[in-house]
Amino acid sequence: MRSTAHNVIRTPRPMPARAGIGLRAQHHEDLLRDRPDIGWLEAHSENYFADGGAQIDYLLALRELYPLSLHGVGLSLGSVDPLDRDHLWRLKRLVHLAEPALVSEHLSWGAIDGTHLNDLLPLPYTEEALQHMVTRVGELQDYLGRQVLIENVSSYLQFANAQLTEWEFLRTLAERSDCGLLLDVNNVYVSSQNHGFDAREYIAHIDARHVREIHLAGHSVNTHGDFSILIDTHSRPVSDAVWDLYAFTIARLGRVPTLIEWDSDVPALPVLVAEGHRADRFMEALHAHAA
Amino acid sequence: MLMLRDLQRAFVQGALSNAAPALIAEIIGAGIAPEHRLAIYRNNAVEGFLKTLQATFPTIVRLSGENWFRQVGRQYMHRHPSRSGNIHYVGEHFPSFLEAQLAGSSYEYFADVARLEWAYQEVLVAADHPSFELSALALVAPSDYGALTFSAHPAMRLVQSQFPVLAIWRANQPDAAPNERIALDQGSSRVLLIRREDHVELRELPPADFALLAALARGESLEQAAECAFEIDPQVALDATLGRIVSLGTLVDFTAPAKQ
Repeated sequence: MRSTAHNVIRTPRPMPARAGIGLRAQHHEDLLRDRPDIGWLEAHSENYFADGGAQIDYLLALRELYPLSLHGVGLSLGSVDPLDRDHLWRLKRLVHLAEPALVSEHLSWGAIDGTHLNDLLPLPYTEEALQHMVTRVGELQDYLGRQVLIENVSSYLQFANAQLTEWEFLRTLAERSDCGLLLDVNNVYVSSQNHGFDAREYIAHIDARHVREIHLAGHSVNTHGDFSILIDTHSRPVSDAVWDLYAFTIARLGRVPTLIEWDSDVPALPVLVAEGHRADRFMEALHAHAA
Repeated sequence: MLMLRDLQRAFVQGALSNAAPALIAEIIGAGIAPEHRLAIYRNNAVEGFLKTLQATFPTIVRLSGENWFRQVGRQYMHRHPSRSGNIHYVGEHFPSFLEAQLAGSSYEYFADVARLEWAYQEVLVAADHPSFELSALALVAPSDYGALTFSAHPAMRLVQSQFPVLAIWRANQPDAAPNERIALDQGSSRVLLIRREDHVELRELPPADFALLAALARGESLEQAAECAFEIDPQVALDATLGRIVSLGTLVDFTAPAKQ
């Protein structure tokens, strides 16, 4: 297949308050052929940074069928290294080509002095780091000419020098930089278990006006002798505890576009779609209660 | 208390090696020792790196076995940690690393197979370009042919090896017939990789065709490139050779010399 209409100007399709699914290359053909009833798709931006070839063609074809979100995993916004100009340029080119409804990045860092761990590493929640993130998010939004959403990550350690909680950090970042928030409910749960805070207290402190998207994913439990730690693996169905927290979250925030992320041990497309429909039912139940 | 830059330096050092005393003091234990908490990130970094390296060089994994690959992959990561937020680039130096590691051993052909696999990955994501018809050269005066230079297709690579690397690569594809025997000394290999629509085509080129195309792709003039082809085969029919490499879509444009 070939793309033809790279230069056609299109209006971004708005993101419906429904469930979407993470786009993985092994589902490209199935999605184009079966066109399952799912609200939207989210692609990892870096997977479509190519200069040409089949992957970007698939993305642009699917973009005609579903609203799209672009989700970056490698920009390393929180690093003190300068932002990578080539990475930024590729992201901007992709945003221009695909006209996504949403663009998101992470509250994390991944590199120093040019050496990358290619992971979503936790920041210390200090005033210094907050000011750094405000500056970086401003740079990114200015460069792209649009708002970005910033996502809370799962973490396995916290720094002793923190001056703010994560939710205070996120809220202040959104207020100072005018970014939106991508609230990952699974990540809140995983971090709450790993650090011993109350996940509902965290959610209760999130300002509904900031949240444009929610993520749900599966996690794994690693047990080392007498302790366990939850790992954000995206390799399993969403856990019951996370569904409960999701119900609590949308009861507070209302219906928000909700993504099912499953990008390791990726299941067949119908399994992923069914998980999305489960999130849709939570949102529909909310509506029924409200009516 | 470390400032952000020092904290990030201590973290990366601690995640890539085992010693991170300055960082450990900055991490809250709360039921799980800071060392164990940091070890999760260390493990994520190594596993993420190895997973991408394995996906980039599946033929080397198959030839060497997963245990060997992971062991060598860790050594490679130590020498060439990722230098990009886009993890797909981590394999860039792996062929030359294997060459240095395996020089003189019976596995030195791994380096050239890895070169083929890296070229394959580059071709997959390189830019598109419309093809070019040989008839366009009709506009050039025959006296100027020798000074013509050409542009190679962005999604084209050439790999040359003293080993039969294309046969080795083909025999290790998932859909290959089992148990094919290949002798390492059965002959050298000159491989063209080029993207066609949505797949990558690999083919052996005749030695003179490869020499001509390689020289043109380096930006040499047609006259210089022809000398390269003649060195390989003094009997080479140049117009037929040029016709073949153009018909393969390897060249996308030409530049005629400026008129004096």
